[in-house]
Amino acid sequence: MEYINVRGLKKEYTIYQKKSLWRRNKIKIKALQGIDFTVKQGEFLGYIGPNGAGKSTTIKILTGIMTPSEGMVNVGKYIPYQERKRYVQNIGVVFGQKTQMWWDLPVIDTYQLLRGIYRVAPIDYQRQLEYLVEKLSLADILKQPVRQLSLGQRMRAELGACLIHNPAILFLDEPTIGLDLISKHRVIAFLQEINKQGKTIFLTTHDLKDIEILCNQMLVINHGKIVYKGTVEKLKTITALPIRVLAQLAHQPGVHLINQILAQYAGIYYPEKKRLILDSKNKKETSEIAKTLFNNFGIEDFKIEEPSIEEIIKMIYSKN
Amino acid sequence: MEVSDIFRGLELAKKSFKRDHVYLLNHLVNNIGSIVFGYINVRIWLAVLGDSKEGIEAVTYLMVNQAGLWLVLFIPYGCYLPQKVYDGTIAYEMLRPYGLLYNSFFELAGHILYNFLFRSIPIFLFSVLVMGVSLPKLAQILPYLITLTNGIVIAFFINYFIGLWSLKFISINGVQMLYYFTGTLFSGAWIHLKYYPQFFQDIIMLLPFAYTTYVPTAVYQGQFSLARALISQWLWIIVLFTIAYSLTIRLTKNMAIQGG
Amino acid sequence: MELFFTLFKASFKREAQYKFDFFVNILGNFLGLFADFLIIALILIRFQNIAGWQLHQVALMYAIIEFGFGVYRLIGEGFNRFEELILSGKFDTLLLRPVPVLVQVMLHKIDLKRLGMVVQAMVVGLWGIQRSTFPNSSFYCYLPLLLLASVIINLEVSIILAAMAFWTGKNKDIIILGHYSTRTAATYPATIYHKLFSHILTLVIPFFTVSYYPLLYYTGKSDNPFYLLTPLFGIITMTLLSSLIWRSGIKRYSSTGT
Repeated sequence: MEYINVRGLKKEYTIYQKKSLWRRNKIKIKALQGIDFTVKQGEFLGYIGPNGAGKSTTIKILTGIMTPSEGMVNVGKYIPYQERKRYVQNIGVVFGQKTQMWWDLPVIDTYQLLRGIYRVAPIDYQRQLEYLVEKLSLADILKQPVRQLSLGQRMRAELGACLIHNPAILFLDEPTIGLDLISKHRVIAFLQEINKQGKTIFLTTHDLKDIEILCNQMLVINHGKIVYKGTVEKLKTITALPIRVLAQLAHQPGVHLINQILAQYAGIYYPEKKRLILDSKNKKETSEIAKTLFNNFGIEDFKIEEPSIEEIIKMIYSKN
Repeated sequence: MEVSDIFRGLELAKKSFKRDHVYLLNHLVNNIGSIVFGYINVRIWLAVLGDSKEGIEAVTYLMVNQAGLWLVLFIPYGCYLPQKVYDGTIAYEMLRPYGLLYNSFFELAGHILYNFLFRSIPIFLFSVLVMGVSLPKLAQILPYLITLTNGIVIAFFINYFIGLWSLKFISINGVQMLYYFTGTLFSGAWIHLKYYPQFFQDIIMLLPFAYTTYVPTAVYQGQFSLARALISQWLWIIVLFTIAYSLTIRLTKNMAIQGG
Repeated sequence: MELFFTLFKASFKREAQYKFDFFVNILGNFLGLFADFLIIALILIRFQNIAGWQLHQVALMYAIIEFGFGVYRLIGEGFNRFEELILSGKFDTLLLRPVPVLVQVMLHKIDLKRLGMVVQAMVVGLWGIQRSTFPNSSFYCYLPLLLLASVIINLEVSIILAAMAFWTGKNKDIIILGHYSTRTAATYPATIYHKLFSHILTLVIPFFTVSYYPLLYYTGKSDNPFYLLTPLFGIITMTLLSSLIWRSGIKRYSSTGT
């Protein structure tokens, strides 16, 4: 079932560059140049792109803050920017760089305030609060003013805040930015769990590891256009980046044999370290190389490195 | 203090001048607001004094004050210090290779110069061209500018004390309105001191506020002797500087002991 | 209504955290504006009247306007500092909630130190009432309505000026020109000003409709009861205007973002 449906989405706006006090330059920005995608219910979608690619614009339109210049957006039965007030009851949003908490007040006060704003019934609120306190380990920080929280604590509190009204879909804009490894791990584990319970999650991030762990689908945007959509697995196969085979040899091999192998596969040999590095084009070739090496040499250490997701993304960006 | 120190100070002043300049358009709007406030006062005084000589003198007195308001009364509250305490940038100030007093003075100096050019002068010109404010006698121009400068220095020290106070007690806008209260009542910005009861005038002349506003403008109008103005202003500056200097040393020492 | 109290409570708690500043501020807000009245009082003690208005009558005008202004600063500080919401991007988070944005902005900050302003206006007003004799006692029924009207007009002017930030980004200086200065002007009789200026205060930023005109009747300067209806005209036009401007501001925001 399609939950988020985006068709032909375009957004243009003009900004003014100040030249002097009275004169200014008009610059037209095409933030989105017609993008299409769908998200199914219960999906965990990762949305990535370099700075200024149109990520924030997309998320602003999807959350109803901004109206598009052209195109259609449906989320569930709503058109976000047309029925904003009714629509936002169903979504939870975290902007990693802005807080929606009351800065000077304890966390619990913000939660109570949000309970009032979203008209959550007391019983539901109590149940949800207990759940969030347990899963996000909020017990110690609930009574602390937000301004005293560390970044990791604040982000957990922030996630709690966007879930008080138990929305069906979450939009998370860089929720792990600036977090240390432990805090990040907690956030990720929590997101995995609520996704399993059926929440649809739309995540933008710069951290590709997050996406690799969390998302089943991903979208890559660059210069206002979608340049990849599909599974994270498939992404690895679409580029021609080589698989790297590294072998640490036990003894110095014969020069003739090495030259023969280097002639057959692209690669390099470091005699002083007895290390051989070969590039393989695909999985079949990789196993072929492995067989050849194990048959001919004593191997001390053997490693296969698939291209990292960073490298793949870098390549996709540079292509357009 | 060496010559190179002054140059470094001027760099600071230049930076705060440039920071203000970004918002020039906003300040021009603000100037119109300021002129409206001046206009209201002028109309009140003309309504009670009529088109008499006294009335015309009052118009000049009020509008010259209005033009100078941004130099001696509406200056950054506490010399930016409360704001710096609030957003935490005060920590950086403490790391600078020069003192707090020095930094505050030059930062404010740039701001004052900006206000003089883009607030005081436009408001003054408007007052002269449209509202019939009389120009000073040629011989009064220099005395006015000197006493005005002294007034600015006194106003700086008053705000610097507020800044130190907010540093010591972590109070962000605690006494802001009290400052405006005393400024409104004691500086003579909106009322010529001669309309106050005599005993009140006597008290006011013992406080520093009148020397920032009333005294320079009275010199402008030739109602106050320059010698008397200079002696009393300089006395105030010496006293205030001595207090400010020793308080700064005590306060920064304390902060160092606490470990910053 | 329940929401109103929740938001109010949150703002109150926040304010009460800085106890010292809080109490000094209440006092400061009392005195800060009281100084303005003291000066006009000094003038009128010396000169008896201004354009035929005596001190206690000016005190009434002053109190009505400053009461509305004080209450606005108390509950509507969010409008006064609207540019901060826009510039920091925090306005976005308000749009994500199922409650009218206007209410959220208004209650974004309850500025309790402005109680000092309100109390100051009431003190001056009570003093003025004590000194005055009214043509009939309907004044005491009319006064609460008039005060309410003053609050509403102050809020509506501030909404219009806050909405300017949707176009200009910053609007602090526009507020000083459009609100602070005009409300000060409206505490004095209209006849002391140039005609154009008093027309502006009657028709464009209609503070005179809640101060000068109704009091013309109650100070016995006019026996035309029509003047008692002027606040209604002021409010109707300002309600239409402010909701129009606010709405088109929101529309513009959602089509351009920050």
